[in-house]
Amino acid sequence: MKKTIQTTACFHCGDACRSDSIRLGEHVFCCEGCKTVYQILEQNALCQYYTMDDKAGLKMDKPLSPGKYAFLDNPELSAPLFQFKKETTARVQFFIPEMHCASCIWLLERLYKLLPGVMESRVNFDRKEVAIQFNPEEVSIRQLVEKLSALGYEPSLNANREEKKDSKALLYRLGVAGFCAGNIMLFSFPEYLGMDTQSKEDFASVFQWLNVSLSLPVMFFAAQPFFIQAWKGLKHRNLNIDFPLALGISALFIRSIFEVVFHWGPGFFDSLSALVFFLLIGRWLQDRAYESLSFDRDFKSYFPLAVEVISEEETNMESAYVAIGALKVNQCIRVRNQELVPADSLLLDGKAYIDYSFVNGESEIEEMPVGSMIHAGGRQVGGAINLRVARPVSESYLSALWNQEEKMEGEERIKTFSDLVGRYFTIALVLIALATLLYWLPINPYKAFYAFTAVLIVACPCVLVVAAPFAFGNAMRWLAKKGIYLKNPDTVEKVARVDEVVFDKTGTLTEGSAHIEELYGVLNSADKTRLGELFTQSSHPVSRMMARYFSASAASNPISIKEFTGKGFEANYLGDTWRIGSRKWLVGQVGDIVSSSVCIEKNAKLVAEFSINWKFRSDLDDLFLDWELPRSLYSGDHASSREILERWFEKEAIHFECSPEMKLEVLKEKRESGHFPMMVGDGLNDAGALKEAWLGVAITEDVHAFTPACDVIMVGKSIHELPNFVRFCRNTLKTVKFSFLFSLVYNLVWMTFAVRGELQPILAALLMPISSITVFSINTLGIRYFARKEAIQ
Amino acid sequence: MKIILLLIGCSLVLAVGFLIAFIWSVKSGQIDDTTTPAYRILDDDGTTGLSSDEPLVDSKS
Repeated sequence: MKKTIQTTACFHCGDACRSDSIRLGEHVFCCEGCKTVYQILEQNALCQYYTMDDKAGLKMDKPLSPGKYAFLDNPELSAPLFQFKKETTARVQFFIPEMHCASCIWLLERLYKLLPGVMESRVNFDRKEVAIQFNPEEVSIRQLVEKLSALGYEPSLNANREEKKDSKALLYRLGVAGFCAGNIMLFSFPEYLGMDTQSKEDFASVFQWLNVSLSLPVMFFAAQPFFIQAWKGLKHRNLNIDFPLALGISALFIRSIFEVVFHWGPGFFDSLSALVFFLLIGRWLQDRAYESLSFDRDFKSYFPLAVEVISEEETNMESAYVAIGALKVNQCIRVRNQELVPADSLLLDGKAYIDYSFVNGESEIEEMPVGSMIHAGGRQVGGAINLRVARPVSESYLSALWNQEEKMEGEERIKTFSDLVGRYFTIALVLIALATLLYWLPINPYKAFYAFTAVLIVACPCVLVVAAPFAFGNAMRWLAKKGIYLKNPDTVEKVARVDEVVFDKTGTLTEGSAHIEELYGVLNSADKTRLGELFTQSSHPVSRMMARYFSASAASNPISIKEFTGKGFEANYLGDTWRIGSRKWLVGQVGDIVSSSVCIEKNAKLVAEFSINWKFRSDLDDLFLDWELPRSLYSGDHASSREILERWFEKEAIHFECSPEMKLEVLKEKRESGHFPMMVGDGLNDAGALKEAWLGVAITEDVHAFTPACDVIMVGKSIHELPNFVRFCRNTLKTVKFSFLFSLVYNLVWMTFAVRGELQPILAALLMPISSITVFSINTLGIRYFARKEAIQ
Repeated sequence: MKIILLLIGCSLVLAVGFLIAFIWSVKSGQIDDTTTPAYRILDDDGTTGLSSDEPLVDSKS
């Protein structure tokens, strides 16, 4: 028996189908899930979905467990999801991470055709949200969520999503600042044209007082964020970038008020309000860039929102879903395959194989005996287990661990280039301004104040506030178009520092699929179904591929499974003992087979063997042949494909039969020796190494398979872009550095005038936005240029 | 020249009107989402839901 990879694309999701057995009419599908979605759409005459975008459908190979959303039937648990609820109308808003194209919008806004009771659904594409208004008497929120999930748009139900209020407040501030700045400028015309002072004294004072009143909302409403941020920084004994801004704005304001009150002159209200207006525009752009690029990495979203609580009596196996926050000590809970343990708990029964990779980065699966303590954050691999909660969720060991990491990250952030420059720049600026003030004070108090303000304003570091995040955010946007997703804008800077690359082989350099051949086997069709179900239990790339080979669906019966890292796994399923793994483990000798193979033992008898020919990605020549960074390969496999790999790697740089721990060690050593290694690997199995590396790049065939440990997620078919990606990030950083240098020189030149008291603050306020605009343009144009150059567009 | 004060009053009232209009537009959510409407306008079937694949419509609906 031999199966070759079909070139037929799945009609729903567009992926290559491994067989053409799943079909409906003339359309072929890659899996049952995709077929089901197509059927739903067909029955409701919504097939236009497929004509709107090439890759409209979402791959549906992960079947939904039937009881997953049962907790939504509990009104107490579903209540936080509602924005509004009455007897016949209710409104919910879901965050749907999978939303990605025009077809998604089209289908989601036609939800009312699929589900009677839905009145209206509106999509916000930037925020990947859909707001649904429905009649709760006709359709329950559970049905709603399940329908969305069945279509592939599984909503993410973490209730803690950030509200958009802040951005609205910023818009109000922007509007007010713009309004005041415009009008103040108008009333300053007499001063600009020099027609006021002697003849029209009365007009001049009217205009001045109008300006004073218009500047009040600017000071006390529009400019508030700068004062708040500066104050926050001061409280933490930290001079942040907002501090000189706040200082400059208040100096300007106080001085202007004095000028008007004591009839010294017209004040600088025009400069002040224009300054605040420009600064707010910068903030707003920055927020927008962040918002559309935010990688929703909220920790709580990994936790199941509710957990199944079972009653204690053996005979009475009733269960109910309880919100995690309401979980009490001594309650019994059940955790199923791939679910996370929500709180520190004692194992009551079931076979626990806990994967703590999420907690400590070690991807080893620990077997826990009954009665042992299982820590929160562990992920069960295998059948369902019953646990007794030992410590409430809030005190959990895991949240402490996570907070610790947050702190560490905070410290690390300060080291980034823009932060460093921003910090020293701010301190230097304040010192220079103070020195100027002190120097002039005995000579000419009027001039002293004048120069102080001018220095603070002309060297205003708002460019630094905006430029780097804007540039990096822009770079992220370009990269996302190529299928490269960064965790946050600072990652660009991390990438730019990478000086060597470590590769994993399986699933990274090889394609997600392989050529599977049955060497021999005595398997009937029931065996094959069961084998398929067994393979779905393991997340190793080989298992995933075998599951696909058997067209498996999720297991219907309890499986007790035990994985042996680097060898295989053992399972008891419906009375049979299966052992599945490498030939070396099961048979003892490697034999004469060149490729990797999977042996299958049923009740201690070898029943089948499959050869697996990993197919290397076709674009590896593009990836390696023209790339200067030193690179090495660490593979868990045995040395079957060494000859092929020597084309791309130095002989000494190829290492086989490495356990995940060895990879982790290697990266640790590299980092300790002062290098910045980038690890490129499969997110699920190399999680530890990805975390240990300076930069972890997870290669995935399916972007939605979530990988907590990495910094970058890259779609498998974009792997040949890696050299371009690194070069692009380096050039982005160079652009940012250049623009900083530019603004530094510019500021220094004008500062020399300001320090000598020769620069009027109004001129300073005009010069400042010019420098900002120039820096903005340098960044935007530079990054666009480099994106084109590296063909990232 | 006193008339200029009246003119200034008028212009301020007008400007405040625009400011209020802007605040209202933000409040009513007009600026919340600037991307989706651009896609939404491309849907051609605003009326009946009958789409390009009409044979299916005939048989099922």
